[in-house]
Amino acid sequence: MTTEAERQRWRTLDAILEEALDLPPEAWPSLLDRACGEDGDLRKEAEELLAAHAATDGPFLDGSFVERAARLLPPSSGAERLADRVGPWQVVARLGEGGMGEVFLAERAEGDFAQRVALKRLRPDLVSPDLERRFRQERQILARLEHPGIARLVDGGVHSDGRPWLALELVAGEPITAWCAQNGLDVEAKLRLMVEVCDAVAHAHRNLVVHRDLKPSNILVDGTGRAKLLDFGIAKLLAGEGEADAQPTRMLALTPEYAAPEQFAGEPVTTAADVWALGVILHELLTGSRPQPTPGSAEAGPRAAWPVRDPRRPSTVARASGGVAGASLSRRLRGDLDAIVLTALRPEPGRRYPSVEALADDIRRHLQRRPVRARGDAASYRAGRFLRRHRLAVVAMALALVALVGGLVATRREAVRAEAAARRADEERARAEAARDFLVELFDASDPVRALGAEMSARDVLARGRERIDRELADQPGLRADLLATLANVYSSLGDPREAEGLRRDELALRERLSGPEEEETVATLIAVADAVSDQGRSAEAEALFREALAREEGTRGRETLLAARALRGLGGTLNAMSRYSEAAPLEEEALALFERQLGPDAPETLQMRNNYAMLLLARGDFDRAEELMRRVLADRTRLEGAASAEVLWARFNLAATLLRAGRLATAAELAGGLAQGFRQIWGADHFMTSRALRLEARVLDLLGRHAEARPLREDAVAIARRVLSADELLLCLVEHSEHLRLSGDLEMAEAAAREAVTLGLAGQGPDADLSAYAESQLAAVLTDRGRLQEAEGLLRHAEAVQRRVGGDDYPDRLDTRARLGRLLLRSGRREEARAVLSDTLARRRETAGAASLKTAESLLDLAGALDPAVEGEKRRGLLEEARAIFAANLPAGHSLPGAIDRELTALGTGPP
Amino acid sequence: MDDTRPRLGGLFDELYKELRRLAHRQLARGRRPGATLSTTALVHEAYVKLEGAGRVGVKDSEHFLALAARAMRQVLVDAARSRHSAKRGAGVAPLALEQAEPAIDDLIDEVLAVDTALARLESLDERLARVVEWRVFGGMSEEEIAGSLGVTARTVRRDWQKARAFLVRELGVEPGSPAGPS
Repeated sequence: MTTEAERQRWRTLDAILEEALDLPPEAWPSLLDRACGEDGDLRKEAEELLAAHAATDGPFLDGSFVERAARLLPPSSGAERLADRVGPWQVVARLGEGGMGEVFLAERAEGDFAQRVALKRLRPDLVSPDLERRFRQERQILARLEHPGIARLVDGGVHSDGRPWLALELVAGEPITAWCAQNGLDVEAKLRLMVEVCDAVAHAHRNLVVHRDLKPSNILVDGTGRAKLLDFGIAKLLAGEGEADAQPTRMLALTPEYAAPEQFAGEPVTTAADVWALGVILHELLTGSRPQPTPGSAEAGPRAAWPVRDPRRPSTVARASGGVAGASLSRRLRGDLDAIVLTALRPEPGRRYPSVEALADDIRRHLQRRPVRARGDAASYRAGRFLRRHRLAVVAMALALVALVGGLVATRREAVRAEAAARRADEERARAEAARDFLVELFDASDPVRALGAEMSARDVLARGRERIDRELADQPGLRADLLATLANVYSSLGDPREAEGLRRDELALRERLSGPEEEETVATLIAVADAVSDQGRSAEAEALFREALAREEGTRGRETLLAARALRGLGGTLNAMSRYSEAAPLEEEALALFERQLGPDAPETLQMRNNYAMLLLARGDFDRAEELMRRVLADRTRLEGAASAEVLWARFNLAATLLRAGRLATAAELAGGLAQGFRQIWGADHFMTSRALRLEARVLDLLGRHAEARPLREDAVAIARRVLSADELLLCLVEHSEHLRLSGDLEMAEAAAREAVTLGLAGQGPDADLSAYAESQLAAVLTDRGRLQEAEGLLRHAEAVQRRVGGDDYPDRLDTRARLGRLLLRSGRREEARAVLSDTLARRRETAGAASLKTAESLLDLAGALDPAVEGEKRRGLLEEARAIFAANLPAGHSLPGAIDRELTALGTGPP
Repeated sequence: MDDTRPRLGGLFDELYKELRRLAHRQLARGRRPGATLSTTALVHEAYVKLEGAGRVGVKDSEHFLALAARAMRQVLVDAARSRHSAKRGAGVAPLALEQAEPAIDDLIDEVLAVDTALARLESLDERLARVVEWRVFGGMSEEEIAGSLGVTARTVRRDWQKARAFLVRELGVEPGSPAGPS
């Protein structure tokens, strides 16, 4: 019990100490003389305290105290059972303890050869009732994960105490961060190592295993410099209850430094969480620190907290580390590597790299000095990349600009003279030359060799040009407006309508002031503003601008002009974009007629307008007129530009694809033939359009039953997708390829292709994504043919649920899946169920795809097949006849299908109608 | 066994459990050469865990560090106390690994002595005791402590010097050796 007297005593001592600590020890005795007076006890105590103070310069109750004291904590259960035999393994030593349990060194207790493993025993409190069952399932998946970069699962089981254990390949190595530091790896070497890690993770993802707890201590680098990943799939093993693949990570399995925001939030965890963790690790490798300092550390600010929401830019971190090395590293990281890391670290999973492969791919692209996709959405980067890739094109463009400026100066000369009568002609020429020179200079400065480290993007160049126009041509508004228009054109061709709009609006203001709102050039500029606005998808605003331009033109020069045609074209396109087809149609028709009269039937703008109008007719479902117009465009273009021109090929592709969708197979086939070859000649073998054209052509051939001809095209398309296209594009290729193989009767290969597609879908987008369902549905179709009905039904039901959620009841993909389900049920002998599903599908397809579509015909045949000829012969015949009529109208003459239906009808006892 | 844990409510109890678990885990890591147990990291891990579980409210989070320091102290003192009674024959399962620790008895005494000395300081001058608790068991920096107490960092440093002098005298520490009874 502490008394008030004691407290009073301490207050006195405290005051003495307070004073003494400000004085040197030599001054203490006189202080004590004065402060303690006759009180000997007080003096003794004060002297002891001061002696204690003087004696404790060294560490006292520092971090080591808590660390030592922590040894007194009771041992975790299990540690005391070191001598245990676990399965066939003899525990040799305890290696350590992680979040999910202890790790022991163990060796095989039986058998002839010595094998050592890392034996992981899961913490008892993690053992949930269904863990054992889940564990047995997972073990099989994990055992399949064979990759040189992944520590193998050697063995696993459940101990008699109920605790599961895993025997993993013993990896001798250093955590990747420590290894890189010790071996002084440079940026390139670190990136190559990271690509290796990504490849291993991607392999696991392809096998449907997400790591969920990637961190340096789980990525060891061995003596030969190869990285190996530990603990794959174990986090998931512990994570959840149900069957779904995307389980929230339990808090206990979470390493805050490397966990993605959705893991903190307890949201479903997908491959995107691994992408995040790899982003953190990459950040750490490149800069030596993580995207956010650990909250509570000296480095962290007072507001730092998990999860990371605002990761630091690697180049910024590097610069902050100071010195010449920091500055140089910062330069190295700025740009691509900043973008790659920050793309992997986007808080929203959907905005990260879609897969670890995509991350690896971007790192590879950077290593090969190709443009990285992470920077794809930055307009300035696109422009810079454009400049680098198209050096020749840019030079040509610069020359064209120079020529254009020369021309403009010539035509503007009169006006300029009128504005500044006193100005001498050679002065103007000098001005014009200066204008030309600055454009040349502009593009010279963008030469990467000249600009060296400070690589200028096209955007920088153009911005500089803009500045000079404003500064140096302030007294020549007409010329300034022309040059603004020139720059705006460049921005438009670089795919930057926003910047173009700004320039065009300035140009418009100049022209309105200079020559009034109604003047031809002013109206032309207004149309250009509207085009730029429309290009940005602001349709309503664009509509108003086009209408304003049309009104101005009509009010002064009438409606029979080229400008009126252009305003009408823009207005029609904008209405089209807003799906107001019936309003757009008469306007586009009028525009086309105007172009024909003003420019002639073969002028490029006329052809373009005809094409636009045909597309509008297609959208309205007016196939006959659309086809007629498209054919005319095709014929004209072929005559004018040659059959192999890109414009002609695009026209053919568009037309063929649209007609195919409309079920007009015969016409589509005719247009699609040789299309891929044409694209290959123009774009090369590795272009996505070449792949698309191959697929289109092959699909038409498959639909015509000409599978042998389709085969090489299919194989080509898949090969291109593997080489250069995204995982999603490859998935689409594989699904179609699988269907092709199924139709050709190559069921084994069809199954392999479909399985690969399913794997890609699960790894890339997860089990509940549209694409995954699309692949599953295909796999189910193959399995049905192979008689594996039970497996197929499960897949179909899952796919259908996903598709319904994504696209609603009438989603065409869902109806395809339903049709497959109906056929499966029929094959299983569940005729009543089949009939219900198939007639529902038929009704929905009639409604959505149209009564005369091929899909409807397919459903008619399906339902006919579900009817018993003996009982419902009449109904069956009705369905078959309806289907036959649709096929006959859409399939080319000589197709075998109508004949086959005829034979069915004959078998029913009545001849063809 | 007497439970002297202050009744500070549910959050404290959870912190207590969590820190115990985390400290234990850290301990396992700490066996590797070069590794150290970082109080700061422990407290923060506990925070993440409890905050993620919705256990820490805004009001709590302001006092979290202080509460965590108290919990940490309690975790260690309880461990020492339980070992102490085991030594007296209360019976605890043999410890495969810890048996090898030669200085374990000294350690038990040291922890209990520090706790007692700190309790005595607390009764004389609560603020000095807080400074020690937060610094030693909470891993808080001078600036954090100053912020929480609403005083300057210099005052905190001075408080620490005075508290240290008191504890050293109380524990009878020999000059140069870390806090251990002589």
